[in-house]
Amino acid sequence: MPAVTFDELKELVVKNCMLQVPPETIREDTPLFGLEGLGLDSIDALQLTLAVEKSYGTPIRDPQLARQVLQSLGSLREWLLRQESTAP
Amino acid sequence: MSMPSRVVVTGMGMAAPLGGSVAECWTRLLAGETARAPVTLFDVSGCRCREAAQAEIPALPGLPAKRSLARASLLAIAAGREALAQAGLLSSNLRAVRSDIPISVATTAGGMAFGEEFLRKTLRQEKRGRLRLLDGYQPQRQALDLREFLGLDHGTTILANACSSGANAIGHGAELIRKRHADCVLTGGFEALTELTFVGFDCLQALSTRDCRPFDVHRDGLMLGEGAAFLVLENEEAARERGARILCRLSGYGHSTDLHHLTQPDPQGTALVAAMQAALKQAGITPSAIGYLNAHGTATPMNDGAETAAYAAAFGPELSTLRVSSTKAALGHSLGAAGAIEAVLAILALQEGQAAPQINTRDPLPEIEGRLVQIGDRLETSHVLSVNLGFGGSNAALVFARAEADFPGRNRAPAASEASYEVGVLGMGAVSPAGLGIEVLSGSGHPALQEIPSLSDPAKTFSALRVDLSGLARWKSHPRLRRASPIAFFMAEAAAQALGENAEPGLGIVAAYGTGSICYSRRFFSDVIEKGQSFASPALFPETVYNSPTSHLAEILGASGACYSLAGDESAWAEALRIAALWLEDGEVTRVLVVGAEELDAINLEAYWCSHWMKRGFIASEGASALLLGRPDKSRWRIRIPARSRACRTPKEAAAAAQRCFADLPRETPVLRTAQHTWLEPIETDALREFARCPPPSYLGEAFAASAGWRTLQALARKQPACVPLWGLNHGISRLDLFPPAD
Repeated sequence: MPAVTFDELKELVVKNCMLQVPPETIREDTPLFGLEGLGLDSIDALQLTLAVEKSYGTPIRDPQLARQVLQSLGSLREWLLRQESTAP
Repeated sequence: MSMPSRVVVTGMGMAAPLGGSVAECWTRLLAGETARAPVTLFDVSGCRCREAAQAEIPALPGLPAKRSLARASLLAIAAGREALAQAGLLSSNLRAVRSDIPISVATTAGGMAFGEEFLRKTLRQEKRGRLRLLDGYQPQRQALDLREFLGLDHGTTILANACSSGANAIGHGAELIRKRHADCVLTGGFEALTELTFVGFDCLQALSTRDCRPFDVHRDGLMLGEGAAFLVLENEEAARERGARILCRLSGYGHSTDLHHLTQPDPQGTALVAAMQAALKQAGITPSAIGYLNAHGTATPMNDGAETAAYAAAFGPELSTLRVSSTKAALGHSLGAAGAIEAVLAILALQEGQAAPQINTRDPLPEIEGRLVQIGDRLETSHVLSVNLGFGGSNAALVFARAEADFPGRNRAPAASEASYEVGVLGMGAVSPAGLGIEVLSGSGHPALQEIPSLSDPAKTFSALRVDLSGLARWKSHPRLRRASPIAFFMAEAAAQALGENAEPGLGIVAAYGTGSICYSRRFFSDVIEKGQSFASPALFPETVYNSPTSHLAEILGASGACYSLAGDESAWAEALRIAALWLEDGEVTRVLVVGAEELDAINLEAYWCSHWMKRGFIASEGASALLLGRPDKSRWRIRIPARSRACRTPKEAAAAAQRCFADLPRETPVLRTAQHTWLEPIETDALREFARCPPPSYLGEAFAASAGWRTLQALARKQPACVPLWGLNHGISRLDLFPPAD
C-alpha cells in the first residue's frame, strides 16, 4: 500500500469539511480545531472520522483517540502510517 | 389595542408510541413503561443504533380504504380527532362541527418516507408510481389531509422550527387567540419516523445504542420516536359561552434563538432561560409558582448539560421545590411532535396531580438530583411548564395554569377569525435569476435558461432558471455558512439588502420555504441509497433541516429573539407576513425580517416534470426575497393581508376558494397576474377575469415562497396600489393588498 501523502489528506479535509481556504495555507501542523487553526467543529470531526474510515479502512471508534489523531493533518498522517505498518 | 384574550385548552389528543390516545399513553407512562424496541418500519442494518419508539396507528374509522395516506397524516388525523372530540367540536360524521377553525401545526419531516421512495425510484430510473409519492410528500400535503378529514377549510400555519416546533406551533396558536385574530385554533405537531431522519441522527452519533437516560451522568444519546398531539385552544369567553369544559389555561409562551451553533446549545442555556422568563412574564408568575416542568431532556451530553444550567439560572433556589421529568426516555424524541406531546403531558400533570416519572436515569446530574419525578409521586400545583430546544437554536417554553373558577367575565365579544393584518415596508431585498437586488426584478427580458440533466433519464435535460452564485462569494466564505446549502447564501444576500447598514436590535425573523434545503437532502439520502447507511454524511444532515438556513441568518444578523421557519408554498409567504404583523402588533418586536427562499436541485425538476407542470410552460427557478417590516404608517408602503388563506385540493375547491378570496377586492384595483403554469391556471384566469390588470412583470420562473416575494417587490416598484394574488398549489389561495405612501 502506498504511503499516505500530506496532499491527499489536505484534499480530504478541504472536500469533506467544505473549506473555502486555499489548500496551500494548510500546513502539517495547522490545528484542525479552534480559532487558531481551521476552525473545525464536532460535526467536522465526525465527517473526518467517516472519511478516514471509508478512504483508508481504519475506523477511529474511540472519541478520545479521535481527539488525539485529529489534532492536525500531521498527527492524522502519522497515525495512518502507524496503522498501515501494524496491519496484519 | 383591545385587552388580550385569555386562552384556554378545551381538548387534547395524542397518538404516541405508548398509546393511540391520551388516556392509554398516560396510563402506561405512569406505570414507567418505555416504548423502545427494534425499528421495523425500515431497514437500519447499516446504523449504529437499531432501536426507537414506534407508534401504533390507531384505528381510524371513516378514512377511505383505497387512498394511502402518509403515516404522518394518519398520526395527525388520529390526534386531531381526539382533541376535537374532547372539546365537543367533533360531529357524529367525524368532522368538525364548524369548518372555520384555523390550524397551527408543526413537523420537521412531513411525509419524508414518500420523498425517500420518490428519490429511490428516480435513481433507479423508474418513473411509474412517482406521482402518488409526490402527492403525499410535503408538509402542506399532511396539512391538507388534516383539513380534509377533520372537515376544516381555513388557513394553516406549518411551523418547522426543528425540535421545538411543536411548542412554537402551540404558542403561535395561543397568540392568534390572545390577540383576537381567532376564537378557536387546532394546534399541535406530528412526526413519523423515517429513514432519512433516523440515519441522520445515527451518523451524528446522537442516538444511544443502550437506552435513553435523560439527566444521567452517563447519558450517551437520544432515542428517536414519533407521534402526534393536538390541543384545541379557545378564547375563554367564547369557550365559556358555548359551555365547553375548560381543561386549563395556556397562560404563557416564550421563544428565543440560540446563536451558539447549528446543532449544539450554548452550554449555559441562555436562550432557554430567555424563553422561560418570557413565558413566565406573560403568565404573570414567578418561577416559584411552577410545580412541574416537562423537560426537553433528550439525553445527549450537550443538551441535558445546557438545560440543567438553564434551570439553575432561571429557578435559582426555587429549583429545590420543582419536579422535573423528560418523557423522551419512554416515548422517544418525536422532533416536530415532541413539543405538542409534552405539552399534553404537562397539562395532565396539572389535572391529575401526578406527573410522568423519569425512567432510566440511575445516576442523576448533581444539579437536578432529587428533582426528578419518581413512579407514584404525587404533586399538587397550579402551574406547569413545558420546554423544548431544537436544531438551529430554536427554544420555546409554554406555561399552563389551572383554570380558575373566578373568571373575570366578558370584556368584549370574541373576535371573528377573519381579521386582516397590516405591515409597513422599511426595506427590500432580492436574489433572483435576474441578478442581485430589487431593481433587476423589473427589468425587461428573460434571464437565460440553463439545462440541468435529468436524474431519471440520461438522455434528458430540463430547462430552469438559476441564480449566478459568483455574485455571492462573500457569503460562501462566511464562517457560519461554510457547510451551508446555496439557499442560505440567497437569504443572507437578500436580507443584507433589506436591512442595509441598519443594525436592528430585537429583530424578529420569519422565513418561508417550499422545498427548503433540497440540494443537501437529495445529496444526503442519495449517499444512503447508493453507498449505504454507513456512508451517511454528518456534515450534510444538519443542513437538511428546514430551519437551518433561518438559523444561519439569525446568527449572521445577531437576532436572538423571535424566529420562525414556515413550510408551505406561495401561501407561506402570506402566512409569514401575517406572523410579522402579529408580532409587531403589541411591540413584541419592533422590526421583522420576512424572507422567502428556494433553491433548485435536479430532484425538484423530476417532481415538476412528473406533475406535468412543465408541459404548461412552468419554469423552475430559485432565489430569495426579503422585506424588512415595521408597524404600518401612512408615510411608507403598507401591505394588507386581508384574510386567512383558503384551503383547496381540487379544482372545484380552488375555484370556490378563489371566489371567496377576491370577493371584496374593488374591481378597479390593478391585479398582478402570474399566468400560473400549474393546474391552478384556469382558476386564476377565471377568478381574475373582471379585474384591472397590472402590466405583466418580467417572468423569473416559479420559486414558491421566493417568487411570491419577487412579485410583491415588483408590485411595490410600480408606486401605485395593487393586489398580488398568491396561489398556494396545495396550501391555499391568498392575496396581498399594497398601498403606496400617502405623502
